[in-house]
Amino acid sequence: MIPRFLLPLALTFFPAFLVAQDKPAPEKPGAEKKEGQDKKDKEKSAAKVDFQKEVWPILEKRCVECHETPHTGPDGKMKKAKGGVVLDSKDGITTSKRGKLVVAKNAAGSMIYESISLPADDEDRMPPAKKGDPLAKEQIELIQRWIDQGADFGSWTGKAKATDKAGDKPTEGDKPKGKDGKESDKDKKAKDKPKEKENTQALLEAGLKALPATTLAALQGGPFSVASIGDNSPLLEVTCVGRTDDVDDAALAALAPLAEHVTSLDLGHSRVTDEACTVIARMSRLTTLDLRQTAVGNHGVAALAACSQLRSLNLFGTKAGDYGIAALSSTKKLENLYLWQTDVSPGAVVRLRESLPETRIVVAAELPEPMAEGAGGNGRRRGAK
Amino acid sequence: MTMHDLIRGTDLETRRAFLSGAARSLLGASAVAAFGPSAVARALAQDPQAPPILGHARAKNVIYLFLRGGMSHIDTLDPKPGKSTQGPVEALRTRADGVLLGQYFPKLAEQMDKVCVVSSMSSKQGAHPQAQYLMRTGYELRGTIQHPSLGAWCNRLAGRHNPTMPGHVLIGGGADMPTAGFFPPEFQALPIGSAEDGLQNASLAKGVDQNRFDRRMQRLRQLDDAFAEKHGQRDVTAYGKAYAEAVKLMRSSDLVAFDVDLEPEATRRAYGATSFGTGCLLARRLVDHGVRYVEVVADGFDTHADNFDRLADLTPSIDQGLSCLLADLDARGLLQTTLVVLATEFGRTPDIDQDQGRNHYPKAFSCLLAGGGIRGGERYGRTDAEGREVETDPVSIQDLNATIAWASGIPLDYVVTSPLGRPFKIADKGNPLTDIFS
Repeated sequence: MIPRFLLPLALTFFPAFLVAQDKPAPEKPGAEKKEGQDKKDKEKSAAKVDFQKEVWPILEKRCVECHETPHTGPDGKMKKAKGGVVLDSKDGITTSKRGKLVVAKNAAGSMIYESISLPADDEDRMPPAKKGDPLAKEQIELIQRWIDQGADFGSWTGKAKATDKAGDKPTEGDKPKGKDGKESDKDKKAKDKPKEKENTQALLEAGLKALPATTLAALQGGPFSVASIGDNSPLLEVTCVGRTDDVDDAALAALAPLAEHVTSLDLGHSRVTDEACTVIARMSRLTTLDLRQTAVGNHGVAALAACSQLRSLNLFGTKAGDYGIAALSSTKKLENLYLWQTDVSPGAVVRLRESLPETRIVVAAELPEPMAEGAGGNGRRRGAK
Repeated sequence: MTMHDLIRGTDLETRRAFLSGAARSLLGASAVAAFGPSAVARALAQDPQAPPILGHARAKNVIYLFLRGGMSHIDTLDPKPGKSTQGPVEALRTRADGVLLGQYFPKLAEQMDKVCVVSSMSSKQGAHPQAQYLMRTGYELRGTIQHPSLGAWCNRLAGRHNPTMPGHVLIGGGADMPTAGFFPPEFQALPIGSAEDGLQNASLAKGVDQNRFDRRMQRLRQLDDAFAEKHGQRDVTAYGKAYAEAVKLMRSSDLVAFDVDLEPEATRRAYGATSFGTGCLLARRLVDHGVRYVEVVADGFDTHADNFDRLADLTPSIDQGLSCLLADLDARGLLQTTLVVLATEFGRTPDIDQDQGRNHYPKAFSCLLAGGGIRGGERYGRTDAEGREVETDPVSIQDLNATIAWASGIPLDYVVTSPLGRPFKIADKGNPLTDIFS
C-alpha cells in the first residue's frame, strides 16, 4: 500500500510514460455535403437505357419498399403492395389493376412517370413526402427516356426471391437508410471508412476456406465460444468469457485445428501461461489477442512475434517484461500494445518505440487525481473519509 | 449550515438505495427473478431468429451513464462563452481542439480526445418520466404497453457474452425503470441498488454449508416442479430458471466482479468516493467479466432553482467517475470494445430564471459517446450561438439508440412483435450516426 501522501506523486508520473496519441484535427462533421448520387446518369443522355442496370436500382431503392410483390414480412405478417402497385417484377409493372403504369414510347401517358414527376408538394407525388424527397431530376429523366425508348426490360423479369425475404440475412443493402429513405451521405461515408479494415480482412480471407462444421462441433461443450467474425467470414473470433477457470494451457490444444482461422482471441483472466503461446504462435491470421490478467510472461510474449498480423495485443496485468517485448519489434503491423501493470521498464518501451514508431504503446493509466476533499456533496460514498 | 444547504446536500442515492434494498430484502423475489435463463434455456436468451451480428460491430459492451433530471447543456457539454445565456459558468478548453466544456469538467477535458459530444440532441418530450422512458426504450410512454429498454434489446438480439453473468445490470436505478418490457422475463436487468454493496445475499447463509444448501435447493425443486407442471406459465418457468441462474452465479468465479472492495484504494479514490464513481468502477468490473450492457444512474439534475450551485455540487462526481472510467478502460485495452454513453433526458432552458434556475428544455440538449470505435476529439451537431435551437445535424433520441445498436453490430431493421402483435424495432425509426466512428 502506498502511503497516501505519496499518491499524488505517483500519479504525476503516469502521464510521462503514457503516449498521448496525437489525433489529426477533427474533421468538421457535415463538411462533406451532398454529392449528386447520380453522376453516372448524367453522362449517358442519348445511349439506350439499360433497365436492369439503371432503372431497376432506382426502383429498388426508392419504390419497392412499399411496392413489393405481396409476401410474408419478417414479423410473420402478410405485407401487401401499397395501392396494389407492384414494381419489383416485369409482370407487376406491365399489368397493373391500377391502370397503365408504363406505356411504351409514351412517358407522358405512363402513370409511373406522372407520379414521380409531380411537384414535390403534390400529395399524389411518389415517393410520398413522408418517405423523403422526390426522385432526383436525373433519375426522373432517366425513367422518362427509358419509357420513351420503348420500355425495354431486357432479360429482367423480376427481383430474385422477392417472396422470401424473411429468411434472408441482412446485407449491406438492407442497412438502415437515411431519413429520407435513400442512402444518406452518412451511410456512404460509413461504407468507405472501414475500407482499411475490410482490406485487411479480405487479405486475410484470401484463399481461406471456412472450417467444416464438424471441426467446430468438436469444440461444443468446451470452454471456448467460437464464432465467425460476421457476414459469413471464414475468420473466427474465439473467447472464453464465463469459462476462464477452465481454460489452461492444456485446454488451448483444442484450438490447434482452428489455428489458421482464428483472427481474434480473448483469453483475458484465464489460466493460460507461456506454454499456451506456442499454440497461439501458429495462428498466422491473428489480429487481436487479449491476454490481460493472465500469467503469460517473457517466453510466451517472445513467441508471439510469430503472429505477424497482430494489430492489437493486450498484455495488461501479465508478467511480460523487457525481454519479451523486445521480440515484438518485428510485429510491424501492431497498432495497439497494452503494457500497464507489467514488469516492462520505461527503457524497454523507449527501445520498442524506435522499432514500432506507429504503434500506440500504453504503459500506464492516466487516472485523474482524486477528488478534492469535500467536493461533490451529492452521493458521497458512505463511510468514506 | 442553512436549511437550504441541507436540502442541497441530501444524498438521494443513499435514500433510494435504502428503499430498494429494503424492498428487495423484504419481498425477496425481485433480485433473484432478474437473473435470466438457465443453461438449457440460454439458447432462448438470444432470439433464435435474430439475424447474426453484422461484421462492422466494434462495441462488445455498452456502459450507459444516465443523469436523471435533465442536465443543463449550456453549463456542461455545450457551453456558449460570452453569450447572455451562459450565466456565470466559464468554458474550458479541452484536449480536443475546438471542443469546449463547461468549467465543471476539468478532468473530462483531459479525456476529450476519446469523446464525441453530440450537442444536437432534440426531442419533443419535456416531462421527466416520459422523457426518461423515451431515452431508455426509444418509444413513447403508453398506458397499454411497456417497451423493452435498449439493454434488453441488445441482449435479446446479440446475446450474452458470459453465460454465467446477467447480460444487463442496472446500477442505482429505481424499480420504476423499465428493462425487459414486453420481452420475456429473462431479459430483465439485474438491479444493483448500491454499487458499494454490490450483489447482496450471494454467499451462503451462516451455518449453511454446501451440502445443506444443495439439499435445500433440491427440496425447493421438488416443490417447484409439481407446481410448474400444473401451471407451466411463462413467468413460473422464468422464476425457476432464475433460481438456477442465481445458484450458478453464486458458485462462479465471476461473482467477484460485483465486489468493488477488491479494488486497490488508489483506484477507488481515482473513481471518486461517490455513488456515481463507485457505479462507474463496478461497471468497469462487470464489463471486464463479459456483461454486455451496464447502466449507471445518477440523480438530481433537475435544477429548477440554484442551477449553478447545484451543478457545482452534482458535477464533480460525474467528472471524476467518467474521466476515470475512460482512462481506466483505455489502459486496460477495453475501451476499443466498450462504448461509453453519457445521457440525460433533456437539456435546460437557455434563459436563467429569477431563482437562478433553468427549466426543462427538450428542444436542444447534449449527450456524449466514447470508446467502442468512436473516433473522439470532436463535436457532432451544433446548436445556435445561444444554445436555443439545433442548427446542424439534429439527432433524435432514436438516432442515439440506433447509434448504440449499430456500434454493437445489431441489425436495426429486425422486427420483434409484441404479444399483441405490434411490430417494434431496436431503435424504432432511428438512424445511426455512423460517421462519428473511426
